[in-house]
Amino acid sequence: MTAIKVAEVSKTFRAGSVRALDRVSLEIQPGETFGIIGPNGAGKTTLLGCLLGLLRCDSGTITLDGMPPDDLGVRRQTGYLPERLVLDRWMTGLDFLEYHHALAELDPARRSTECSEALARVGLDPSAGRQTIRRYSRGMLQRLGLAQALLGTPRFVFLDEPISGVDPAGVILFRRLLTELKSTGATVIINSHQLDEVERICDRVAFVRGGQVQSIETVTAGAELRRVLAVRWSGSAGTDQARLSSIAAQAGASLASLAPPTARFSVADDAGATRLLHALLSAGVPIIEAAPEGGRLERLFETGGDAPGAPGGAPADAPTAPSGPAGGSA
Amino acid sequence: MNTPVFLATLRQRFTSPMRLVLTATVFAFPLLLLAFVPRFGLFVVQTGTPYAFILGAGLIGQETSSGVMQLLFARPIRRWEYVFSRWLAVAAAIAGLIVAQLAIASLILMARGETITAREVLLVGFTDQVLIGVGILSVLVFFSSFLSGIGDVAAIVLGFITSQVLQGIGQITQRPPIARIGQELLRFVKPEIQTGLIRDLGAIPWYEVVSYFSTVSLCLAVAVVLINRREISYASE
Repeated sequence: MTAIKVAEVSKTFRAGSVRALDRVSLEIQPGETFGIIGPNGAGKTTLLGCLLGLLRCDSGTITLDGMPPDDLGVRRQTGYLPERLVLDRWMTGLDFLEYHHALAELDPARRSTECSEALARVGLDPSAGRQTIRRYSRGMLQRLGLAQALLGTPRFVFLDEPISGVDPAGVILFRRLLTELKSTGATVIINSHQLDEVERICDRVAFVRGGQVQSIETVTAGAELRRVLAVRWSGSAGTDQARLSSIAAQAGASLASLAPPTARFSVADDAGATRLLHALLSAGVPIIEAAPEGGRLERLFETGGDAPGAPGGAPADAPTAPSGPAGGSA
Repeated sequence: MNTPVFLATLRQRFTSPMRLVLTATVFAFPLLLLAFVPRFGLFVVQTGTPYAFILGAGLIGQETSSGVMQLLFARPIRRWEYVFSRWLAVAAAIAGLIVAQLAIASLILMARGETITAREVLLVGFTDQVLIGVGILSVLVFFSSFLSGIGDVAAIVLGFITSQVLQGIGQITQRPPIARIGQELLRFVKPEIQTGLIRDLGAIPWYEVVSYFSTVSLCLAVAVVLINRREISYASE
């Protein structure tokens, strides 16, 4: 059974003068992590608002587990982290979690324990839980918001710009929490401008523009995302394919393509890129330039929703094949 | 009623330093008058109106403008429960404060050697002030459901001024319909029941009773409808 089904949903504002969503259709499977990307004003937040039942669609239907999004049964299983995170500033962090624990109709006997655990899960210590929210930094607020969204192990989790304003440690924590969440079978919908993160954590991504889903990409399907590093050197001595492949393998990378004096390497992450460059320089390759290439979604964004490597883009409900380690368009 | 919202509303209202100071002032001032000015009686406890404004201002509007509703309504809570629970929390607070104030006022009067009857305390003190407080609170909730921040207070003040002006114009120009419109407007922005009539004449002022309860229920019903219809997402801004 489809977890979330959106069928021909349209939504306008200001008496129909602003069309925010235009016949949007998509299906999200149970346990899937689904990203929504697109330029500002594309309709992403409107779509999320409709999925949460906070906005009413002009036409079309949305169902979560076959029920409308404003059904109380659905809301008992929903966690939501809004982009503009406005919390009750007069409460302490722990009060806030306990309040939402009660609103979510979770077991009162486990309230105190579960809220303390939720705080710890997002890396906030007990003293932070006793502080009033008005004294929280942006990053702490985001962590607290995430903690309330994950209370009670929800089956549907909506995250609107979840890592906005979060420090690198918070980003790593977010990835870990999302992995844990996926293991519970939750269906997660993420609206974000952080394309590399979306690409790293989502199974599929919808590119929204002008209120329409331009394409839906299957990205990494949970696999570790690798980056592409383009390296250029001067001269050509000792830069044959076998040698470069050997050096790359030693650094844990792989040679994706070679067109002297440029080669494209696939590396695991930034640290992998550093190791590769160090290995190349140590081997005497006279590097004059090295630059990371944008991720697959970044290229999708640049092409305005036309799937990279697939001229004309994919139909809105036709996922494209997952890309290889080099990012798909190599 | 939604208990978490009820309790959170009470805590919210009594956490604001400004509200606390104002509430304490309104609570203590009549009692000090009673304690130190012998000619004052129970009638100085006229605190239903100030409590309603202090504790009820922006009851929904401030939540709307602050943006916390979005997170709240993503939870399994019916919107009518939200409106009713917040209204009930402040109404209970008003009643509780007035009861405490009247209890202390009665003790002060008894210490002064004056005799007070339970009927006087109940009718003049409790019923009058709680009815006025809850009535104004309901009107505040009505305005608060579509005016952000503390626009509800401004709306009531404007309504009060307009009612006075209309009554004045009606009397000066000898046009009773205009004065009547002013009276009815006043009845709307400040619903109350003159329990003095019950005390003095032993008669129940049915028109006032019906007018009062219809105003209170209408205000709450319209507030619920407006909150139910509201789209809560910054995408709609």
